[in-house]
Amino acid sequence: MSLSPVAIGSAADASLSPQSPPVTHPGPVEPSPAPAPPVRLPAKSRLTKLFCGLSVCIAHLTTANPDALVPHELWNALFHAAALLAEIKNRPAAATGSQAAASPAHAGASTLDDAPPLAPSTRTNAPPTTTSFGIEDTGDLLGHAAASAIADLRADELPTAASSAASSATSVGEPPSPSTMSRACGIQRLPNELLHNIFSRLKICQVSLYAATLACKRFSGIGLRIIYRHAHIASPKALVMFTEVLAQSARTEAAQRGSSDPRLSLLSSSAVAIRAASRPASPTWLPYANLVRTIAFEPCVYGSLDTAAVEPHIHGIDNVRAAHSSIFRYLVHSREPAGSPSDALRQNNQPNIRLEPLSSIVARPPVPDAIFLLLVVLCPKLEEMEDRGAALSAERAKYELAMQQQRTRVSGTWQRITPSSMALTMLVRACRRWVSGVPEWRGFELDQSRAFVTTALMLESLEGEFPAVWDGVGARTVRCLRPLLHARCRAALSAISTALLLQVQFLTSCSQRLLDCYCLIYYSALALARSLNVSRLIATKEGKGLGAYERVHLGVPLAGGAGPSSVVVASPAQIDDEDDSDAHGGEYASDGEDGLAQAEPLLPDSSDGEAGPAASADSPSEAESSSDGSVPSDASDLSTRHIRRRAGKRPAASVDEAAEQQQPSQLNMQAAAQIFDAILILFRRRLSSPPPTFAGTADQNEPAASATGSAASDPAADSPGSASTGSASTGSASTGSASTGSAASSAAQAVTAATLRDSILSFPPTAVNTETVELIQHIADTPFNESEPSGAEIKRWLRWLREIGRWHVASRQMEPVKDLLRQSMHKIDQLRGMQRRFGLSFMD
Amino acid sequence: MVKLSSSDGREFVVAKEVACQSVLIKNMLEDLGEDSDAPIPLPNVSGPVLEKVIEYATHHKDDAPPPPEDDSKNITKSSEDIEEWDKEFINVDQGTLFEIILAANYLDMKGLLDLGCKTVANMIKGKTVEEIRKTFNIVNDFTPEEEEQIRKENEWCEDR
Repeated sequence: MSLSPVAIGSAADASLSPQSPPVTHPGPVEPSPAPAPPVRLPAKSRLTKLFCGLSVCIAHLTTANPDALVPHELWNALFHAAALLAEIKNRPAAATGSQAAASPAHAGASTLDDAPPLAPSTRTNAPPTTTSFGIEDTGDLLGHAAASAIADLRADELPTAASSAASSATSVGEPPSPSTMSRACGIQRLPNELLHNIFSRLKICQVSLYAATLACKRFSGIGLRIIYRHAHIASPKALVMFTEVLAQSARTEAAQRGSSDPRLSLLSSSAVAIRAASRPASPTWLPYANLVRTIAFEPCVYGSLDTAAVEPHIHGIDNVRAAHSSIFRYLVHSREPAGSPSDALRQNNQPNIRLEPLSSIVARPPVPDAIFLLLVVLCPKLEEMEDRGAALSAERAKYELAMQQQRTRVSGTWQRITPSSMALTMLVRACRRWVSGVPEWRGFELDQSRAFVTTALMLESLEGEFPAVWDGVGARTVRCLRPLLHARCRAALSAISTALLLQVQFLTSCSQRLLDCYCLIYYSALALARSLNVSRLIATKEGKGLGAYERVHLGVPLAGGAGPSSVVVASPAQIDDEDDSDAHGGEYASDGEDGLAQAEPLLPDSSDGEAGPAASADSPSEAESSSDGSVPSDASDLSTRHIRRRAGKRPAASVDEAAEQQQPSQLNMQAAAQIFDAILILFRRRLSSPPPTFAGTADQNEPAASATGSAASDPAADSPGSASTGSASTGSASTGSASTGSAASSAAQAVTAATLRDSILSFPPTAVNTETVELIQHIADTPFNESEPSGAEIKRWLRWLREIGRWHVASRQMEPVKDLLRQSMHKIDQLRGMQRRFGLSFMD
Repeated sequence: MVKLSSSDGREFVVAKEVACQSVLIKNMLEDLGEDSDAPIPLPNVSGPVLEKVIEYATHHKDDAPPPPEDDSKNITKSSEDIEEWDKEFINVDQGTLFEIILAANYLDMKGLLDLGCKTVANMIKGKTVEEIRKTFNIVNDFTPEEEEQIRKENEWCEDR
């Protein structure tokens, strides 16, 4: 290895980019040239020479003047060189020749592959100037970090761009000349400030304001400024388009100034910026990037959290759509795809996951999503971000209306849910600190992802795992640099971890909001499931009236009978009917689809004796009848209350006659049959097997009741909540009638019915696939007549079927959210692992 | 009582609390003194428009003074909350509407100005570009290329 003496100053001067200051920076630190020892560097690549030269230079400055700070430009240059070395080290061995060219844009290529589909490949879109240099062109490499973002803006275009933009600026936003302005047009008589006042009232209705801006140049000059000042982003796609326009605007502004903006170097690995850079450089209509003050991420009107979903609108889960905003949806969709290597590592819940190899960490740097840094860099005046839309926005109003229509307790508190905007705004500030927080710290002028990789490899090199970098520097110099580098790396990692934690906090609060919505869906559906009555459905299917149902289950005589229970105990049908007309009438029956949500299933208000849906005739609370058929005090009270209430409506003696008339209509019978078929499909029962019949159930119940005096005849036996009782009685019944074939068949049918009762106790009752959901959703549209006998019961069953479908869609949407949360937690684990590995404390 | 003189020479005598809803008139009264009987000239307001303005001021003379605008808090302006009487009052032809807005701006009457601006904003709301142009008789002064550029750059505004 040949060594050639290289002067420190000359090496740095030769290697630093034109934008970077020379090493002999005229700052507060002026190294005394006298004690500087001669330094020999190995004749290696110019990049390695540069790195070593910068290292030695920093060490020299520190040694010469321990009280002075090393210029941050020098640090940035060092870390830029390290970043390039890191890219070389991380590049697969197969990459050779020009493919190994270390370009910041190429550094982003690894992330581009996993970027949202809108991001194109850098290799195809990068301008030729970004790929033509080799690894030896050290000076170009350093300068490219700042130049890449505007590399495709050719010099010969600059005057044209500037002049075009200037001409636009003079023509936009200014009042038209009197010759062109018609005085007859009333609105054109208004001065600009009044037009601004008018348009400001439309900023909550951005679509209308945008339409107004297209009316004429004067309107566009005023309206677009309002739109960009308080931008409302309604979808992930809109966010991507928005950032692309901003990137183009920033490039135009930089070109007009005739110098590159160092902030734009941070965009070198951003997929959106690269996509914007691939476009022809043309000036934007207005300097949009400088106009943005706040960004409001609206609730998504269309679309789904499920990346693979194709449906534009999801019926029935409006509250889920209302709970997430466009930025949340963007993050969910841009998450690391399932099945990737790091995803597999994440799924492997090993205790030593925090100490995974550094190479796997730097392959997926644990940094916040690049969109935040991108927006901060592009919008120098961005102050805050608003999640879930700005107040009074049209989109938000839609969801407020949707929530209000549900009239639930949860919807009443919906407005009071803590917004996640605070976390977003704090995230903006964290990214702002990274970009331009303090003079001496600008994140090495690297984006967070590249800075993390560089930092990790620098720390690793100091541990001896990357010794080649320090070849020729000398152990003494490395020892001198080590604490300084540790401090710099710690600052970088601290800033990265702060931003990451804020992003995780935002995601967590959004997910919590989603979870609240899911609870609303789940518990409403569960309450509905517990109000269902299998026996009544079977009876309806077979055309048995409620009178027959009562006779079988309660022993009510047909006409004028003196059965004691017919007088003392109200039938479940009666109770149900009353529930339908009272409690359900106010909640389930008359509220249409949205009535489901206000079931208040777990907190029935018992003070006024009104039982909620869960406390209907089938409710577990009524299943507490004693085995001898007597009614416990609670149930007795409840029944007595119902009878008392019913006394004013119908004489007790005429209960049987009235009930006898309640035969289900043909339409309801067909609906019940369809529902039963759907249930059998749902529980994967063979349709060819004889379904349970009302008669079978009754036959089974009757002897059991007579022989053992069990609760088989108790109304609670039909309740899903009393499934164990029902099963027990079923077992005894089958034993008692095993001698005859019909009895055995009846027993089997009864078992089926009991199983169904058991199954619908939980929600969702069983795992379903999409095809099954489509089928039951189709059946859920079965026509029926609600006003006829059993109409209320059929309505409940149909709603239950719809709820299964809704839950299926909703739970499918939650899966990617879970993935994203897992990824976020894994990133935090990785940072904690970094702390332990290198003995740094940078996370709170 | 205060005398107001419109641009066409008509004079209106109104109560002081009615006239003082205009910050401009209020300041002029303070400058001229209480005893001055000279009519206050309002050369930018025509008689019919001043009549409408006085009608509005008379109806709202007991209203609480509007809070000062605080741009720093960026209070979102809405165009929905218009009272029934105000809706009926501002239900005029476009020419009169813009005259009222200009008069309210000149007289510095925030309530009336807000009402006029809300009304115009509501006229714009929900309309397409062509409908807006037709409603306000606006001449499209974009070249096709310019319009295409603006549409392309701001496509995100419409994406849902």
